[in-house]
Amino acid sequence: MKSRRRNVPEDPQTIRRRSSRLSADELLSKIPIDLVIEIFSRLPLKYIARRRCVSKRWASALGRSDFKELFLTKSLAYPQLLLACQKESELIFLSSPQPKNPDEAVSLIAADHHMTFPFERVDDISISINGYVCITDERILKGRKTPEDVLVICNPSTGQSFTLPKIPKLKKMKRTAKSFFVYDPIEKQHKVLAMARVDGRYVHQVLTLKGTRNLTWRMIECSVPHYYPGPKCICINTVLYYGALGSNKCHILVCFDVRSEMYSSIKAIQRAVEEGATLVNYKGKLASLRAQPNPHAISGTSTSFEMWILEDPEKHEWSSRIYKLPPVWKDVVAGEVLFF
Amino acid sequence: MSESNKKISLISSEGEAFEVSEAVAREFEIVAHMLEDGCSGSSIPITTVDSNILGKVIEYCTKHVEVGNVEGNSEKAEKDLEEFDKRFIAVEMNTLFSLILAANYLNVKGLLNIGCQKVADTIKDMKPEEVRSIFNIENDYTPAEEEVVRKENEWAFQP
Repeated sequence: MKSRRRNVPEDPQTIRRRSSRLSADELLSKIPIDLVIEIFSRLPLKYIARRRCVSKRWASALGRSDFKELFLTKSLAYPQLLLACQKESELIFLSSPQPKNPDEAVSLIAADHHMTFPFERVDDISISINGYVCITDERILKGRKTPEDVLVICNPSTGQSFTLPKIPKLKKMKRTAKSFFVYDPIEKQHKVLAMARVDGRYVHQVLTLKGTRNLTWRMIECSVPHYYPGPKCICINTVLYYGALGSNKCHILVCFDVRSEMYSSIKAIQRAVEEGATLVNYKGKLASLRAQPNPHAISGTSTSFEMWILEDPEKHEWSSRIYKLPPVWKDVVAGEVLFF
Repeated sequence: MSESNKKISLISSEGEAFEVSEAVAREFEIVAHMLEDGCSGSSIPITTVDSNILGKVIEYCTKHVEVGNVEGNSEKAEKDLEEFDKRFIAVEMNTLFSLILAANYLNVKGLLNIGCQKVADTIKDMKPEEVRSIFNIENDYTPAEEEVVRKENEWAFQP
């Protein structure tokens, strides 16, 4: 490389200062905070937590909401599968990188052990939202004979967990029928929606997760009377969808707006919401998927998947598609029975 | 003269000129923008980067331009480049930070990326005390506060 020195008159002191190297601290103080954040966003959560112990300045930089968002965006670029299994009175979380190309022959996926939480009898595990899951645990509380549902929010990455306040009991209230863990991306708030039967109808209560103090359940009005909610649900944008039986015994798709906490409903094709079907996000549209001919189990005898896509929620319009399974399906599944 | 043979001088903070091909200079996004904005001068001052670091950044960009121009056997070329990046970034902390700062200022995305990754990898397994000494950071926690923050993040120190 050719280079030539130019004769630029310079203050000799400036030259000396420049030629002596800057100390790491001087350098660090010159590094804009967005670069520090850029560096840290490449670390797994565990290491970020370790770095919080270095100094207050670092802890505050790593606790900033823009850092959290950048971290979340980066982790979303590397989707992981979160697996949970119950072993005796423990719930074990494992994670594994999601195969990028589903066509690739996956022989065995190595799963990382995350965390183990103590539970009595896990009744329901929500989908994971921003790294949190909500678990319904059936516990026999002190001095009681019948089990009660206790809701616990867990962070499988950090092992932290938090038990939610008890759902207030109303007169004649039966056990919680169903609870949904949802997220409002605009207000950046997690909420839990729980419903329980009282005198033949359902009451709906919501808890907004704001910190861990003073959390209270609020009763909300439901303008769409419905029964047997779920069990499958999905959140698309700010709307939670789940199947249920409407007041006239018709199958409906219940839509709960997470922000406004208002209910609406869509007439549903029975097959799309009845047991065995699962709800999916198909190119931003709500869709339902079920195996055929037996929708209750996916096995070697399944021949295809039927998909119902909600084309127009206003007009209650659905369209359907059939995905035929290839002949090798039987060999792949062998004698296993799978579920959504 | 064809585009690719055009030479551009990049002037370091000490006033030293580095003559490079336009293709290499364009790897510096800041320079590419200047050229697109019609800056026709053949020498461009890079006042915040010293000769030592500027030389290194040019070495990085030259290699990446060269590999980009090679046709065929792209897999091998990519591997070579990966090896080059690995060797290139294996420097002591001060130089690493200077490179990151320069890459950030000059907007050389690839270099910024490997630099940040290298720092992240270096500090990830260190104890808080080690990180403090490497980065020359003052521990502004009182022992009681440190105990609390350690407890809060205890899970992260488990293997």
